[in-house]
Amino acid sequence: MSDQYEKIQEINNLDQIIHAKARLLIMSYIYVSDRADFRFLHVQTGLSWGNLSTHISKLEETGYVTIKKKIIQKKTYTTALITKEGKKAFEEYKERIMNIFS
Amino acid sequence: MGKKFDISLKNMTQEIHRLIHQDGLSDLIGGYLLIYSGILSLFNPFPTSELGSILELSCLSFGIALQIFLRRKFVFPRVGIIRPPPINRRARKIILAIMLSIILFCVVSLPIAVISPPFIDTLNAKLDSLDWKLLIYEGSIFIWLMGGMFFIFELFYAIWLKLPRIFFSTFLFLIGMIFGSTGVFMGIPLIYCQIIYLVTGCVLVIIGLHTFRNFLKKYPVLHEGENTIEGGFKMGGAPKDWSTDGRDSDE
Repeated sequence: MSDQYEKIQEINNLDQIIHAKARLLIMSYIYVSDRADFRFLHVQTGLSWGNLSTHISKLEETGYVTIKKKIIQKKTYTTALITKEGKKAFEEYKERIMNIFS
Repeated sequence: MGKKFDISLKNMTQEIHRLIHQDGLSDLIGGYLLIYSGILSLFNPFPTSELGSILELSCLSFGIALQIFLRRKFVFPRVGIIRPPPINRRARKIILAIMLSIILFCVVSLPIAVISPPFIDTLNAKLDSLDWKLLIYEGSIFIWLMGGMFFIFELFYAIWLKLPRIFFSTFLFLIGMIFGSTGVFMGIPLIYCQIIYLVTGCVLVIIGLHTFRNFLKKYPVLHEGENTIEGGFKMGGAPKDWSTDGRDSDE
C-alpha cells in the first residue's frame, strides 16, 4: 500500500514541463540529437508551427533549450539546442518514469 | 494515420539516421567520384605531372561542394538541418579519447623526434632503401583492409537502420573503388579497371537520382510559419486533440 502511495507521489513529482505530451516528444528529439531544427521537428512531430513555437518557447523560458536562428540562402532556420539543465531534467524525468513502472 | 505515437529514444535515433540517408545524395556523389576517377584514368591529359593531381583534387573538391550545395538547396528547406545523433554516447567518448591520445602523442613526440639528428639519419637511410613497388603493393593491401573494415561497419549500420540500400551502395562503391584503383596489381588489365569504375559509378548515380527524386516528391518545401502538414503526424503521433496553444489539458 505504501509502495503504491510512493509511486503516486512520484507521478505528482514528475517535471510537468516535460511531462506534457507535445513537449515530451519535442524534448526527446532534442535530447537524442542535442539540437533540432524547427522544420525537422515540424516534420517529425507533425505539430503546427504555432503549437511547436509555443511549446519550445515554454521550454526556453524554463531554461531547458536555447534558440538560435540562422539564414541560409535567404531562408530562416531556427534551431533549438538542449541546455545542461534540460539534459539533466530529461534524464531525471526518464529515471522517475522508469522507477514508477519498475 | 501513419505510425503510432512512439517516444522510444532508440527508435528516434534510428529514425533520424534513416532521414539523413533518405535524400540519396551520398549515392549520387559516390557515383560521381567513381565516374570521374574512371574518366580521369582514361583521359587525364597530365597523368604523371602535378597538374594531373591538381585536376583530380579539383574534381574531388567539386563533388564535395556539389553535395553541400544540393543539401542546402533541396534538403534543408524540406526536412531542416539534421545532425546525426550519436549511436552510442559511451562509444563516442571512447573513440574521442583514443583519437585525442593519438593526437597528443604525435604533438608531444614528433617535434622531439624530428629535431634529434639520429632520427633524421635513420629516416634518410630508410627512404634510400625503399622498394617502391612493394610499397604500392602494400598500399593496395591497406586499401583492401580499410575497405573491408568500412564494409563490415556499413553492413552493421544498414542492418541497424533496416535500410538495405546503404549496404548495397557501399558494396558497389567499394567494388568500384578497390578494383578500379588496385585491380592492376592483381593482374586485371587497366581498361577493365576503368570500366569497373565507370559501370559502378553509373549504377550508383542512377540509384542516387531515383532516391533523390523520391525524396523531393515525399517532402515538400517548408517555410517556417506556414502549415503544410495537413493535420497528419509523421510519427502518427500527435493526436488531433492535442492543444494548439501551448497549454496542455492535463496541466
